[in-house]
Amino acid sequence: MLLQLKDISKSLGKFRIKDISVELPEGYIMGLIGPNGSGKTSLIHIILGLYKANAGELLIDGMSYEDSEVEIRNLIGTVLLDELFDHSATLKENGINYGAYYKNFSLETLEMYMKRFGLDGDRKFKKLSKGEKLKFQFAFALSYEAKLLILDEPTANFDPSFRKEFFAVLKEYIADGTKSVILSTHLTEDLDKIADYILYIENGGTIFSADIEKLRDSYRLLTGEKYKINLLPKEQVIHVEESNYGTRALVNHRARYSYDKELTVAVPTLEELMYFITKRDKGDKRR
Amino acid sequence: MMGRVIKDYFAAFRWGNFKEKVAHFLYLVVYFATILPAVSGFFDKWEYALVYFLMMIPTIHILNSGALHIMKMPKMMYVVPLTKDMKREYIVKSAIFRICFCSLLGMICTLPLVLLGICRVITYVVMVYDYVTFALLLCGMNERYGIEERDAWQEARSDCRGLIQGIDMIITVISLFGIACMLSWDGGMVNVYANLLFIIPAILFQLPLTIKHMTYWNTAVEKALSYERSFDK
Repeated sequence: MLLQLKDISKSLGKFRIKDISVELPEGYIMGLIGPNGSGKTSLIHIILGLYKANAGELLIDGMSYEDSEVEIRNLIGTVLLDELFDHSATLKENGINYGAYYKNFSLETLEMYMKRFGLDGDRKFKKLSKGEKLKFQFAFALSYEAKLLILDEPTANFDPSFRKEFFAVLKEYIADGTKSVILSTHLTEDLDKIADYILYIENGGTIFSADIEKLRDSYRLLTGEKYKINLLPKEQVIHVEESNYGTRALVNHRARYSYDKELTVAVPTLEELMYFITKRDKGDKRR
Repeated sequence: MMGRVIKDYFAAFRWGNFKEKVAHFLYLVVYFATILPAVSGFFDKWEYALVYFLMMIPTIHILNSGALHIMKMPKMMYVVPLTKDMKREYIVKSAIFRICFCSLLGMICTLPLVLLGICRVITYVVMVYDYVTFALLLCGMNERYGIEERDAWQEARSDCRGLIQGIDMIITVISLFGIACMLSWDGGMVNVYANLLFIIPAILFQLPLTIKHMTYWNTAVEKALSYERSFDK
């Protein structure tokens, strides 16, 4: 197991990460989703060892930061929204300076990815746009044979053509089955296509944590007349929304459940799941 | 590691950093470099002006260094594979290099005054002591001083560190300025009693305050070791 979080908790002022548990095996892409301020970045900082959890256990490739910090950091590639690199240095200088700390750093690999991503190694880091800075972080993260890529909301800053390239690189990256990716985002449309596993957090707590197929099997989006929706068992319904085109409801689903033939039944996208779960009644927080 | 420390020290002296971290007290530099010496008569003779500027160069450098080289690592250094001991080594060596470089610059700037023989030996000692004290005070800060939401004083007020730094810094600046005034007004022939005016406060106040400040050294290093405490509070 490449990543194991067990009951991780962390207080950050008034905000709290609450008992998050998740396991990520090799060869998987995990989507970390949730609304703004849900704790995604804080959780990533905990996984990166930048924040120390108040409680719980964090293992990366079976190792803990307390015992094997250097080994773990050699395994992790990072793309954060923070501007990590030296502003006054060129991309190549940054690569050489910080690559020197990594056991398996390859300047050739970094240059190959920079070329692929359209980055000029002689440009200063401060001259790059936000998206280019993230591209460089991504190229650097790929240059030292990291086993676990941790990417904090990079896609929102990428143009549509690079987003395709980005997901293609991620697929290549995990293809040999020994590496994994954690991709935090609130743009879920791409995750529908690429993620194997979803961890959805809200207000610092886990809303669901499951592989994407299981998620698809667990929820249905029903559309139809309001009175038909109202006939559904209350405990099954997560949230109902009325619009000009009819009433829609997200419901818990089991294989044995059957629905009124006049209702349209669809597998919800991650975006729809997030939308409805975020809007659900407050009394039914955890599932 | 030392190469990296030296490289990072000089890399911080860039225009963007000055604009971001030093500009808010630029008016002080302008005041000390132009208005104050003009009204205080430091521009009346070239010897006076030389004394004044040779004392201002290390003082301003130490002030700049205090703003540019706060005790924390570059963000990427918290992410790369380094053990806690290696990070500690980087932080401590960075601080020591800062103190040594600032003190050395102070000594170099004092040397022409020594060669010109324009003051007593004890005056040079107090001057260099002031530079070292100033460097020690400023390099032990986890936060940049000045007009900032989470400035050094607020950050350290719980353990009185900010107060001690503040009082000690004020005494140091007054001492340096006072020595410069005396050297100029007396044409370098400062009498023994006037020297005592600066030596006694240095021993009675500056020294114990500086020693007390240094007892917070480990606290400052521990804080700098943590990304969470350095950047996300």
